[in-house]
Amino acid sequence: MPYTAEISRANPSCIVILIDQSGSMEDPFGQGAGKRKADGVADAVNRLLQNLVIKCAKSEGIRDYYHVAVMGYGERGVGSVFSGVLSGKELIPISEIANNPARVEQRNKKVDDGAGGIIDQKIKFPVWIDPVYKGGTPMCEALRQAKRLVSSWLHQHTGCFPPIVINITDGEATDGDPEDTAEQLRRMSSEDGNVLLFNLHISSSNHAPIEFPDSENMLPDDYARLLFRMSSQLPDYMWTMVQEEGIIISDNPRGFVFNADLVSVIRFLTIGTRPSNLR
Amino acid sequence: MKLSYRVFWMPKAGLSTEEYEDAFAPQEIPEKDLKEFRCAVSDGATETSFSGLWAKILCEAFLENSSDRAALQALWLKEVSGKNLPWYAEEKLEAGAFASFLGLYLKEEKKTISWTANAVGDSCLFLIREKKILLAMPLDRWESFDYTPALISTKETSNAGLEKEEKRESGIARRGDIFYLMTDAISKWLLRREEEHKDAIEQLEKIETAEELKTLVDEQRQSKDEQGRTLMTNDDITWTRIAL
Repeated sequence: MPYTAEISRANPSCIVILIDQSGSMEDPFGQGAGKRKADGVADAVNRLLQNLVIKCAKSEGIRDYYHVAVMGYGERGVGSVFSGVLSGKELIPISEIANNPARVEQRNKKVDDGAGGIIDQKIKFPVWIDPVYKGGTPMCEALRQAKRLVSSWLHQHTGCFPPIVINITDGEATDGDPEDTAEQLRRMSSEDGNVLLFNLHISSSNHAPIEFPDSENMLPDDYARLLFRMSSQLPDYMWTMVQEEGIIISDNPRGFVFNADLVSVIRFLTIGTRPSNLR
Repeated sequence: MKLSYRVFWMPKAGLSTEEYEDAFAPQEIPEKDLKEFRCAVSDGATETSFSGLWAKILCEAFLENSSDRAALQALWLKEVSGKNLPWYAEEKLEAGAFASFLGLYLKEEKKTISWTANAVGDSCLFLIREKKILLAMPLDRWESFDYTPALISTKETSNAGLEKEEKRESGIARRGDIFYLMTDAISKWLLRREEEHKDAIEQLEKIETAEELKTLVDEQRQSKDEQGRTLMTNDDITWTRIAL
């Protein structure tokens, strides 16, 4: 049965995040004075890294269940987006990420005061990546780079839980048609199943998000249909997680969200990287 | 009452004994007539930190008949705090530790042995009579194990509604009865193998040494059913056996 391999220190898995850093990422989520897409995505990815680190933290330290790369694509082509001492590094063990945030910010979190009110609580917010928004959208090259990282990973980890690649974008590729490269990426596999490629399309419009569609026909335009075709079908364990989140989905949904708002960005990243079988 | 008490335990495959996060108590018992007897097992949640310590605290408190959860939480906090921890360890501590709990209490009065068991989570008690499972609790179907169980937390705010989740059973035991207290992976295996008439109890009753259990567990962890699922989940194993 695919997607059942244990994720352990002896048999780690890998996650590759691709972030669109093109000029249009400066626009806000939704219309009006919302948060800039680039800021929202940077926060969501920092939060994702934080959650992954915490998941891998045990009494004795960090267990390297994952190796993670965060690659950006925009004006300067495709490259690692880590800031600080990790700058320029691609696929690295989660312990290296844990111990090297670029900085740890203090942020406010609204919490229940236990007496019916809400108070601000100061929390530590480690930052690894900063928002960038400039230039075009070289998505084809980004997928090729992901393919390179994943291919070399699979070469050394033949029995691993299949690598997960999450592409976060707000626009069409400016360097060609990404469909073939996406298919080549999805065709790569470990003994436990094919690489999972998920696409998260974020939007400046106020249209409601379309989460986990199961057919092209329900999508509004060619671009949405292209991203749909580029996305893997959700494996069974993830299907169950989506159901548990209370999202109604059909039997064959793809790992794809169209017109995502910030809530569905965060939700998608959480579901898409939640492990089924950590040891 | 005279009883035989044995404990078998082993960590997940690929992990060291120091990384075993189940717990049990007592470690051993005196060889003499007992008026009453208590034992417990607990399974510290893998995704939380210092959960093995929490499991141990819960088991040892049960032997002392201590139900003051706040005192136990304070004890856990005292043991884990005061260290200079990196940001993620601090945050992990903040989330607290979680563990299942299963306790068995036996008491002899006027030559009758009564038993009471209470459980939170998916560690299971089995009452074995004449090589058959007479009773399994809190779960009695192997299919029920894949859901997230209710667990006891070191953070009281995470324990809301826990009382509703606590299961309790009691009864009168007979001479020759055997109780098993097991954490989830071996409980699930036992229920499934018995349902499929694979004589799991017979296999377990032949086991005398840790080495023999390891042989069985290694084999079951590696064997797969027709759907490719392993027969026994790779998890910490704890099995205490109390024979009257």
